[in-house]
Amino acid sequence: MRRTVVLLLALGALASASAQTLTTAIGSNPPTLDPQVTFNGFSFPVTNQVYETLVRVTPDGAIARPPGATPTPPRCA
Amino acid sequence: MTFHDGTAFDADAVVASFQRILDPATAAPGRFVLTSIDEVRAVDATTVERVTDPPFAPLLAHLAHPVAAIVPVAQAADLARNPVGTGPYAFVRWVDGSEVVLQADADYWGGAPAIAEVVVRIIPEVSTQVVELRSGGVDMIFNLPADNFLTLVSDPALETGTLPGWGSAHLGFNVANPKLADVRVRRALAHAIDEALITEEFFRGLAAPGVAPIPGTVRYAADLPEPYPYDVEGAKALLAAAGAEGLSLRLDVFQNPDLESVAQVLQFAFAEIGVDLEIRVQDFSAYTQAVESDDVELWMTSWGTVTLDADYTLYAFFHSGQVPANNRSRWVDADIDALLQEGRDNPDDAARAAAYLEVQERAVAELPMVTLYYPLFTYAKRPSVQGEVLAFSWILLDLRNATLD
Repeated sequence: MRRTVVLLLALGALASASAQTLTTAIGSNPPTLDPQVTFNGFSFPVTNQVYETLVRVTPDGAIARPPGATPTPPRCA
Repeated sequence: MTFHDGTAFDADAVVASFQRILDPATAAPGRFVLTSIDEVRAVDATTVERVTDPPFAPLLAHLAHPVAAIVPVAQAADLARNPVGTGPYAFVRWVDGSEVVLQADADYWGGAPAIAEVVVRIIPEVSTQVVELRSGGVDMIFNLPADNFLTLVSDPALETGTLPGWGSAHLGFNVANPKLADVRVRRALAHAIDEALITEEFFRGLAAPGVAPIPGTVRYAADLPEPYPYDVEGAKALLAAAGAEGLSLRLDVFQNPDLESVAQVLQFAFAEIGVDLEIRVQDFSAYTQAVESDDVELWMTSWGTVTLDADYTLYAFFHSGQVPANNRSRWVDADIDALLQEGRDNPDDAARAAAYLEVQERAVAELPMVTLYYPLFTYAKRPSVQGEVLAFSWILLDLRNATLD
């Protein structure tokens, strides 16, 4: 009896976790999830969630830097 | 700050990551995005210096490219199947052909994302994606063909949208081919194309007619008037003046439903001015070989200016050093080379804008290619998803501030 209760509690936890799941779709299995060794359009939608670049494009086309990243102006050697 | 596996994320990690993609032994297909970098060094624990010689004005835009992601090099051999990064979501599992599961990183530097789990399902058939969206099996889908998209627009249970993208589609001419060397022939073919027919009838408004080789979303894109409006009689007159009546041409295209359909529209349009067009559809590698061969005549391609900077596309399409891999038009001009180099070397915004305007004006006048259209990108979602940020391409989907009811 006790075992059954524990199992039901575990199922309840799973159900609440699934309410917090966002599901999207892509049209093909990614060939790899290493962003440096591919140019495949089905890899990047996944790798862009897991990895980050040093800067990112904002919707207005500007380049955003994370806080604390302060590029120095280019200078000639 | 650390990677998801606890490895330190510091200047040394950043340097090692750049060195890995730049190392020819890595054989990275996106290496060219970063080859302007001659040397990367850690100045101290949190400062990285990149040396480019000569200077490279669009460098910052290139650092935002997905291939420039910072990876933990010690785990390099496993990243293909077990990705490890510093992003908002950490990898959980990947069931081939079925789904990739990610979970929010509680320690993400920008604060943990509100949505605890992201599942990316692999669903090849668009019609299946649509059914799953309607039933709640998926929350968000992207890049829908016009017919599928328009049926979802009228569904009150869903939210849909279109956004200008970074993409463009082109009809290229090999200007070194005797059949296409006379600019009047190229202009005649441009006049024969009713671009509005393609964007309105075929794409149902989900593409905009093109003029400049880069869409308006890209920095330094020129806003040029359409110089070759649809004009069958004008096109015939140009062909006659060039002594090119009764021309037969071959168009190379790779297997792609949109491009193949547009190729058929072009075949019909060229027949109207007495030009016979043979369409050769091949898989991508055979197509690539064909367009790099000197006997190529016409080809179609779709392209994305992923850095959103004019250099990425204009340099590839029009610099003499890019023949034949990217400059398949064999359009070779010392003044164009100098302007493209100016755009790379000169960090001054106005100087870059002037250089790229001249390149685009000359490309439209001399016509090494016709820019046919700029596709919009589409999405459809369940309204329970809010706060996601989407711009330019679905691959940039930003879920850091997204919520789910």
